[in-house]
Amino acid sequence: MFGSGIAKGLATTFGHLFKPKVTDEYPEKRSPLATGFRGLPRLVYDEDPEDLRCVACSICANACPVDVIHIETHRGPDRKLVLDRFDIEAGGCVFCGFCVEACPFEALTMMHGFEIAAYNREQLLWTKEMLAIKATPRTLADMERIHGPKEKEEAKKEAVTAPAKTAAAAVPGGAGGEASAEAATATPPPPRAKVEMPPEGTGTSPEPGAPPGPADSLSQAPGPAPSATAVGESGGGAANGVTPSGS
Amino acid sequence: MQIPVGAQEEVVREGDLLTINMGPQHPSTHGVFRMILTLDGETIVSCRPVMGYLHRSVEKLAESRTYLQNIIFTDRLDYLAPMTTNLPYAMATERLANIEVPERAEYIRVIMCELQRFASHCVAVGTFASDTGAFFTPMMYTFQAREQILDIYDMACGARMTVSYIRYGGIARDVTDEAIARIRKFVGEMDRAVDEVESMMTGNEIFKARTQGIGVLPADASLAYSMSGPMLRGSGIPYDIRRADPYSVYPRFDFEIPTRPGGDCYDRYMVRIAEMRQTKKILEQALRDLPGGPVMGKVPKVFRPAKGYAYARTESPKGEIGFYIESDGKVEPYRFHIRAPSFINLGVLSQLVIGQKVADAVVILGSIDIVMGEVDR
Repeated sequence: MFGSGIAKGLATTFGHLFKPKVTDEYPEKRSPLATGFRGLPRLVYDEDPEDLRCVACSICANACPVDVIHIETHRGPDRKLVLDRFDIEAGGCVFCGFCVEACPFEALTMMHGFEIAAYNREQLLWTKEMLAIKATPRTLADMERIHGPKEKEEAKKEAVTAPAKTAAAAVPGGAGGEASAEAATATPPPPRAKVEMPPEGTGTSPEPGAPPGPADSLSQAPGPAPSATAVGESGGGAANGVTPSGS
Repeated sequence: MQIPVGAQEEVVREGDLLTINMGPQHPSTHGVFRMILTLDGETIVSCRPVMGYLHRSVEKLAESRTYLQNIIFTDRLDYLAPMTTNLPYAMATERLANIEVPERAEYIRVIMCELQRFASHCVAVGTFASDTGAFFTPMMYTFQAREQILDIYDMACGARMTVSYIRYGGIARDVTDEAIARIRKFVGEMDRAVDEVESMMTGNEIFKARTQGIGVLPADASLAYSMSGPMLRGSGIPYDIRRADPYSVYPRFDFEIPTRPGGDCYDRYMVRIAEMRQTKKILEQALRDLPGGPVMGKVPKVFRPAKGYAYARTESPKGEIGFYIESDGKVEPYRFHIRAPSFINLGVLSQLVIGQKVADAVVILGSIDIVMGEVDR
């Protein structure tokens, strides 16, 4: 009979009148976000908002596919890098989480929310002070999820027991040997203001204090050492600012 | 009537023919796609597709970014199916660098991609219903199912659409037990969701009148225009990369390649519906066999593949998607080329619409199921 198909469809629609609603009345009612939600990257501190976990190594800025992380540093009296500026252009961020994955110091996490809309572009520039976030269990849980499965945990465990062995093991295959061999011969690059790998702060320990000597740290660190190698290889860090980062 | 010069550039009368401009802001063009149609009354005499309004130069941009950073571009090609676009890129890179993928990662990849196929077909079928005149009601119901898949993605990788989840070497992070339970629950509801759509569309007389016999693509023409995906299977050719060139763990699963002989818009719709049911079959098997273990293989910290090239192709919801990557030994690819199914399937549009009515052009375009992010890239 003509129209029976239409009647069937109308019956489905009519049936939906009596079913519970599936929509949320945002913003009054919000459904919870999953652990590890990828919002805007944030800088983690433990107790004092001034004392960030970040050691200004610029690995995150190198990992960023859209170059929205801007870092400026200077060397303090004890030759340690001091973070002057850590800005994220929230308007350009693609929320990929590569910076958080790349950070070897667990100093970055991602915001558990998405409401960062602003009225103008100036308000979309998040400075160091705005990005600071306290390390709560929720923040750390998010961070752990975003980090994903890494050999890092295993590498860290190994580092505790046999720090000398880790250097070769952490970078698998021929690349490891190449990296450490070159790193041993390479002179540490001069400190630069922006997105450049400094020799300091590349030790395997997550504490920002007590950085090992430059040559030593280059051969030991699993993450940053290859970057320095790549810079050395591509003709003294010339041309492209793209250096590889730990994936 | 004399049309003022410069007022409507594309509206020009030539004898009895009328040239009109459809798009790029037309709601039925599924993005920013423009058709210049020449009409004889209501009948289309010729069609000139204009693309490029969403061109972002992805292939060139990718040459200046590392292999890891390029994953974000694959999310944004087919933005309705980011998982299935992540996968061929990851596979091509793995072939380039000889990376082994752990078993569990392969299974999770298949689960995510099949969920993605369901979600993408939900959008295709829902918007197709809107194109044929069912104003948004079926679309709301299909989006309801898709929303659950996006929630699963949120649990698995922290993002709903720009997932960046499938990486070379495995996947970005393991799925939680909570997410697996959610997937299982959703798989149980899939049939009901498809039934609901079918109850509104498949037997509907108006829908049939609008789609049957419209935009007929014969089997030989579909081969000549190198169609793939539901476009090809809707013309009766059982070609699916999952069977023709098996990848990942697909050979272990039992599923059918649905085809329809007619080659019209209705058959393409029916193929999508049948594929949604097959997706459930694959998901059930994958969830049953899901092994434990690591989800990331051995990937060098400095990812610098040796000189060479690799091509990988997979079956995306739209058709055959392929990535050609050439390495010259640096951290970024030397060449990054994408074989986008939407773009190639769109090539036949100007032939399909000839002799059809203007209203049918919308239906035919909807049945091709294009995503402009992938067409223009």
